[in-house]
Formats: sequence, C-alpha cells, structure tokens
Amino acid sequence: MNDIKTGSETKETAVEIKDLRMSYGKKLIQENINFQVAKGSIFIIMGGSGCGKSTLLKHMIGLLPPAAGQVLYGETDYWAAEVEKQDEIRRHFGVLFQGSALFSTLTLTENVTMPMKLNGDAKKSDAERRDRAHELLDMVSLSHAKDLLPNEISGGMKKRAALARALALDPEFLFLDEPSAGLDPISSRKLDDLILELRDRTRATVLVVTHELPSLFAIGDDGIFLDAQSKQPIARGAPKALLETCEHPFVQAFLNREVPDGDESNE
Amino acid sequence: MSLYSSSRERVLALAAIGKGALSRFAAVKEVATLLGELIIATFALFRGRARFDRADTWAVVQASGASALGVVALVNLLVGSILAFVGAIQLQKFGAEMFVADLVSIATVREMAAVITAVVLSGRTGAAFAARIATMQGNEEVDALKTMGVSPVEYLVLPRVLALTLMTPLLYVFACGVGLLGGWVVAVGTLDLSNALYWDRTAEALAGRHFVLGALKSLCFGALVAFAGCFYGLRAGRNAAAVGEATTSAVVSGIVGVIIVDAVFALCAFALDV
Repeated sequence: MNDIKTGSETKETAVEIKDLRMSYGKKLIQENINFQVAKGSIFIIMGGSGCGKSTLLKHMIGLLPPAAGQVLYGETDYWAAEVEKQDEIRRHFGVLFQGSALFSTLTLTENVTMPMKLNGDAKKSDAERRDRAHELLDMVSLSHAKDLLPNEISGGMKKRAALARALALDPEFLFLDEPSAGLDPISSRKLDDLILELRDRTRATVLVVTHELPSLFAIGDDGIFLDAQSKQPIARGAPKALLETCEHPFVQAFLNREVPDGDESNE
Repeated sequence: MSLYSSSRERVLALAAIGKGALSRFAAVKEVATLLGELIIATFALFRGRARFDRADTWAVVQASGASALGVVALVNLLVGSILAFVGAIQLQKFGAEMFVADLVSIATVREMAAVITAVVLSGRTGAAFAARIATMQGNEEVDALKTMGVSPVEYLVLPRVLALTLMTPLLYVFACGVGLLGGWVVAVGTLDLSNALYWDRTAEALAGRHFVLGALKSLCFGALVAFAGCFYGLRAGRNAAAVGEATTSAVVSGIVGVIIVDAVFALCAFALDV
C-alpha cells in the first residue's frame, strides 16, 4: 500500500478506499470514491444530508457490503476477505454510532466491559475488565455515572460513554458517526477536545462523519466531500484548506454556511 | 380508450402479482438464511463457542417460563371449563354425561393445552422478543454487536429460541393439569359427577401417546413462536412505526404458524393412527 504525502512528511496509509460504488438496490448513492487515510490522522467524511456519509462508514466498518470497489486495510480488501479475516480486522475497530447505541439494559460500566468480554479478553478477570472500564469512563469524565443506565444520563454523556466503549479494545481505527449531533455547542466543543486528546494518546486513526462545521474545522486533518447531486466526491483535503482553496461553489457554500446560488429546495 | 385502459389495468394487476410473489420469495429467503444461521449458532453453542450473555439468557428463561404461569393458568383453566360445558350440553342429550371427562382430557392433552399455550406465548413472549430486538435494531444496538464481531443470531436469537423451546413443553404440562382441573370444576359442579368417577374416566381415556403428541407439538410451537418474534425483530426498520409493525407481524405469524403446524400434526397423527 502507498504512503501518503502530507506537506513535508510522508505517512503510512491506514485504510484505502478504491473505486467504491454505493447503492441501495438500483438507486445509486455515490460512485468513484477513492481516498487514502493516513495512520494516526483524523479524516472527515463531509457532505450534505442524505449524500451517503453514514452509508460509506457502514461499508468501512463491515456492516454493509458496497455495490462495487474495495475497502483496504493494509493489503487486505475487507469485503473480499474470508470471514475469519474480517473478524480479525474488525477486532481493531472502535465505533461510535450516531445514536450512541449503548445497550439500554446495561449500566455504563457493563456497556464498556462488554466488548472486552465478547472479544478475546478472556485472560482478564471480571475485576480487571471492570477496572479497565472505570479507567476509560474516567478518561471521558464519567466516573460519577459508571453505575447508571443509559436512560438516566444526558445525550452528551451517552456520546462520551459510547466513546469509552469504542476505546475498550484499544482500537487502531476509531469510527465516529456524527459524534456531536444533537449536542449543545459547549458539549460539542468538549467532545471535539476529547477526540483530539484520545487520538494523541492512543495514536488511533480516526474517521469522522459529520456536517457540524465547528467540529470538522477543529479536528479534521484531512477529508473528503461527498455531493448528493453529482453522486460523487467533489473535493478532497483538510476542511480548513478546502475553505481557503476549493473553488467548487457547493463546497464553499457548505463550509461558509450559505445557501448556494440556484438552490430553491427547502432542505 | 377503454380498451387501452382495461389492458393497462391487466398489466398493472400482473405487475402487482409479480411484485408480491418476488417479495414473498425474498421473505422465504430471509427465513431460510436466519434458520441456517441459527443452526450454525446452535452447533457453536454445543462446541462451547457461542457468544451470548448468560445473565440475559437466564432472564429470558424466567420471562418465558415462570412469569407466564399466571396467564397460562387462567386461559387453560377457562378453556378446560368451556370444553366441559360444551361437552356436557351435547352429552346430556344421550345420557352420556360421564364421558365429559374423556372429552375434556383428550381434547386438553392432545390439542388445547399445547395450542392455547402457544397462542398465549405468541401474544406475550413472541411479541416481547420482536419488540425488544426491533428496539435494539432502531437504536443501532444490533449494529454495535456486529461491529464487536458478535453475531446477533448467537447473542439475541439463540438464547430466546432455546429458552422458549425448552420452556413451552414445561408450560404445556402445567397447562394440561390446569385444563383438566377446569373441566373437573364444571363436571362435578354442574353434572353431579363424583370426583372419583371424573378422575377414573380421565385416567382411562388418557394414554402416554397423547402426552407425547402434545409435548412434541409444544416443543415445535415454542421454537416457532420464538423464531417468528426474533425474525420480525431483526427485520424491523428504523422508524418509529417499526417496533409496532414487527410486533404485530410476529404475533400474527406466530399464531397462524401454530395453527398450520397443528394441522400438519393432526394429519400425521391420523395417518399414523396415534
């Protein structure tokens, strides 16, 4: 796999998407998606509502096979690999879902312990797993809520708890689907800071789906912009750089929070 | 113009039939896929490789077994009583009231205890399975399991199908006892049959094969009801109406499935002279 040149330094590629085509049945969502993500970077998947950002993430985390193309982790195409290999790759994933996806009948500690219990941390005792869960909950400032159920905490706390669970297996890849959706600006900012801190601490490669402008400018090292109209990516690069250099009118309108010329839709 | 519109209507009707057939075929394919995955998960369980939460499984066993005793008792007691009432009215015409015990016992043990218990479980436990899994589907909890490398079939479906398959025959035995008791109350209370005569006739009428048939049925009904609940739960969409739709489909399919399987058992029992 090729290395990626970013400015003066060359970084190893963590994941590569090649000629990906996304569709639901006969309905095309996106095509010609090609990008590489540098190891240890924060890569943003941007675009308007309904352009296929979350679908692309689902193709990358093994939830939905693409219509065509490759999702390469190292030299391995995830979707062409044997089930055992897919399981092995997936063990390096940590995923934060848009709705947090915490198990509603389990406490936060049990939620964070669960991936360890289910994924080969058999050598660890229950006490060790619990200690690790408390450590992670402490890292996301939730040590006071460790025995609460998900329905007893706020939306922002749920996101942080889900982030702690995503980190339970020390993932190489952290996938975050709309992490700051539904959060107030202060909670959103705190979550962004936490993502940056976690990336620096764990050296994980982070892929974020978002259309929250403050977030994508604050944390994005690199990114891709999907367009719902042309059904293909229309820009590639760090969000801040795109704001300065990208000439595509829709990208400019999006990043400057303006209504593009000729757009009469109510959305 | 009218010729054109009638031929167009015919084409549209054919297209609707074709679409319906294709969607049925897709559903059958989905059922077969889940069944295959369930069989694989069962083998994994026997090899000690299935990944599921034992505490959750125990909670499911309790919810499908012990917690259902009250409603199963009430319904079967009433069904036993109804059988006795209906039988008494007809048998009195021929002066054969004493055979009410035969009617109640054979009907309860061979048919009613198993079928009525399965119908109750479909509305109670099957619906609960569908609602729980559909809610998890909507909350992306099922997706979260998949990304943890855990099969939702192993984690959610297998414990539920096993729990209900094992609990239903036990509930059937309980339902038989309660049903016979319901018949006894009516027979002794309204027909002036003695206790001894009622239970003697019951013992004479019943044979081991009746219990075996009823228990076999209830085993199949338990598996079917649990499978329907889990199938519609996993198949649920992610909108607000999805949980309700999944629950309704699970209950309707469970009850219809139970009646169909019961009819197949009746045909087989008739052919084998059981």
